[in-house]
Amino acid sequence: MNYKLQCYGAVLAIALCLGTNSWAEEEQSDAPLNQEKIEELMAAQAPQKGEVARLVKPEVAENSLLVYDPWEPMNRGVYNFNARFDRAVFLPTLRAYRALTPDIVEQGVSNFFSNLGEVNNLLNNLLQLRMKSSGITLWRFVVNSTVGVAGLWDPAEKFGMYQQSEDFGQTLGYWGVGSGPYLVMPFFGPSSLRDASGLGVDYALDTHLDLLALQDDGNQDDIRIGLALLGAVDTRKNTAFRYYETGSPFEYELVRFAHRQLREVQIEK
Amino acid sequence: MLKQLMAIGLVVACCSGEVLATGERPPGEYPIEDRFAATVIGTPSFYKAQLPAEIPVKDYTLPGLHPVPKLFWYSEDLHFSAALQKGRAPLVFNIAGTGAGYQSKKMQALQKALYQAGFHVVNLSSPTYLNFLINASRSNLPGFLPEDAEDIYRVMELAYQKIKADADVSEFHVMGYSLGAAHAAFVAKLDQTRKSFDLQKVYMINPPVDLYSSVDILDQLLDDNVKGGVAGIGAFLDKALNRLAASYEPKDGMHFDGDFLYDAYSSWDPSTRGVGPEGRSGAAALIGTSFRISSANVVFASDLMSQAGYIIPPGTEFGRRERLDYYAKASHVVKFTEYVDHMVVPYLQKKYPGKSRKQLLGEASLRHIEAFLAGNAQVRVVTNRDEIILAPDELEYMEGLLGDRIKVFDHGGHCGNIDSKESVADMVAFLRGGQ
Repeated sequence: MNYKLQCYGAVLAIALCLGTNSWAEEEQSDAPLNQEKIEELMAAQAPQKGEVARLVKPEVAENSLLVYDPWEPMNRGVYNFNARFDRAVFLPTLRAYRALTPDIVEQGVSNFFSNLGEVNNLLNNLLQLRMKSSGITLWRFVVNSTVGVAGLWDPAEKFGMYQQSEDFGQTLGYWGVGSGPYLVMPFFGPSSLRDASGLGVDYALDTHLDLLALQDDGNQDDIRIGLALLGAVDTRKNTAFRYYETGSPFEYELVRFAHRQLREVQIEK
Repeated sequence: MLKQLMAIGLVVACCSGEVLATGERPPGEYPIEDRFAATVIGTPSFYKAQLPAEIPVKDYTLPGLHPVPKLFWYSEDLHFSAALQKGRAPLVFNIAGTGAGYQSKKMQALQKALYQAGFHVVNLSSPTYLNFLINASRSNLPGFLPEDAEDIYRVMELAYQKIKADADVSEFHVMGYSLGAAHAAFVAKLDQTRKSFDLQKVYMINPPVDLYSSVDILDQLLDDNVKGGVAGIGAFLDKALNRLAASYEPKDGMHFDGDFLYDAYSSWDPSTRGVGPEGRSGAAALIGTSFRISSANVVFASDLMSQAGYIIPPGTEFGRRERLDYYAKASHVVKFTEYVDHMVVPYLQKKYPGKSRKQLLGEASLRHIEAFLAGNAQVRVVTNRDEIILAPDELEYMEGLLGDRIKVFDHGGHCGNIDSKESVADMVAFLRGGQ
């Protein structure tokens, strides 16, 4: 465990260094790249196409949709891999799961995982000094674990106590850590160096706390794998996004922009 | 312990304003009076028609017409969907609006409504949707209604071949919304000579009259309502999304078509909506932005597929991991009207020498087939008094042309009320033949 934490520590340190000045870099990295390409393209265009000249004039449309993405080729590769994996494995599995299990069971599974996540939410709410949200999260965990039978039901929501999701990436963001380069993670999808590091911390914490007391179980590895797979299917079920249904050739860019915006919004909240 | 917890839970429940607060729902028809807001928000759930949560829909594919470039590896084959009844029933071909696919939210809602009412429903993407543009548009330059109709008709024939074994069809109808409504009319006109289906009814939801003029109106929304025009999109979205920080909880994932923006705006507090500085409307800005995103997709994909050389130098080959942000930027600068003028019209003039631009644009208008529309008792149009995409005299024109075969609701903007109780009731009643 110590070794693992050290690794995450190192990654975090890198994230901190890269993250703090990432926004400044974003603004600069845009200009030289496009300038070059624009000149290249203008040379290639037939001169009578005045329209094109207007379109590619460097001063037109500074691209505020741009996100700092130095690892773009790798990210695009992973994005494509995720899309293929989604199509070939994830979605068919999800369809089978939905066909085989009654909706009420699916909801129970979702609630179960969501309840396990409350400890993490609580910790991150506390780390961000959000006392009201921490209180709500604590009550949710207590109520749902007892009245909700180990989290299979979510009675707390019926009392108006909604989940206050926070993760370690958001905690880092709260304390001013920049997002760092955009990163598309295999299977997980859009993220950033900061958020990926945060995910590692969250995961390490979950394993360390061992809420289900698996450490004493002889079959703990099998159970862990089973739970991880079920959790993955459950997460996919709750994610409406489908790759390449936007109908945009610029889906990668749009997803990148929207993901960054949503994370910012989440951190601000 | 348990008892105490439950007691506390009850106290919490009683104190919680969210549980007790019941929103005010004035009874009656579609409630949103601002035409831009209506277009963006759609129908609030209370006014929505009751639709089943899930219906048995199957996805199908048809082989594409063109070799697919590496960059579009994910869009091989044309996709469409069908919801089929067990027994004999009429079949409705349903055509999507600008930039929308067969599985977009509006399309799904229409499919559910019609399936529930006992129809087979085949959902087709708009020719301006990437998957259709690549695989089923012969010219790869969608937007000219007569040619689009040919493409759609061909897809309808192939689609029917594909599902024929599973569908017992009594008769065929065609419908669509927005651009899809205009397509439906042209398809029905084409069917009069081709006679593959002997289409019985044509139902058009919020159609444009003159396509070019409607597109111009939508183009203009961006320039008029986003500070700095297209260059300001990023800043505008940034600001808009930040405004959501207080209220928007992205619960069920992210969609990045127009629906994404719609969801976002829907969650704004009504008191902070409305008109911004210098008379700019946030809702109008969102519509303009959403439309420009659709049009950028068309520009880039058409240019790449047809090798027109408008933005992409001819012969450019894109790898699967190609960086596109430069092209994205350039594509978003192009207005849809410019796409028509600079890409579609030159292609058409080459194909039909001697026809002027004015002539060609005139052919992409409902006025061009007005004799067919006026003389056919089985054509029905439904639109709104506050429709965005119609020029001032165009609603009167349609009313004059169609008489009692046009239904005009007071509010709803452009397709905002498409799945409201009244709209769905009108659609089902007409297609069932109760009118």
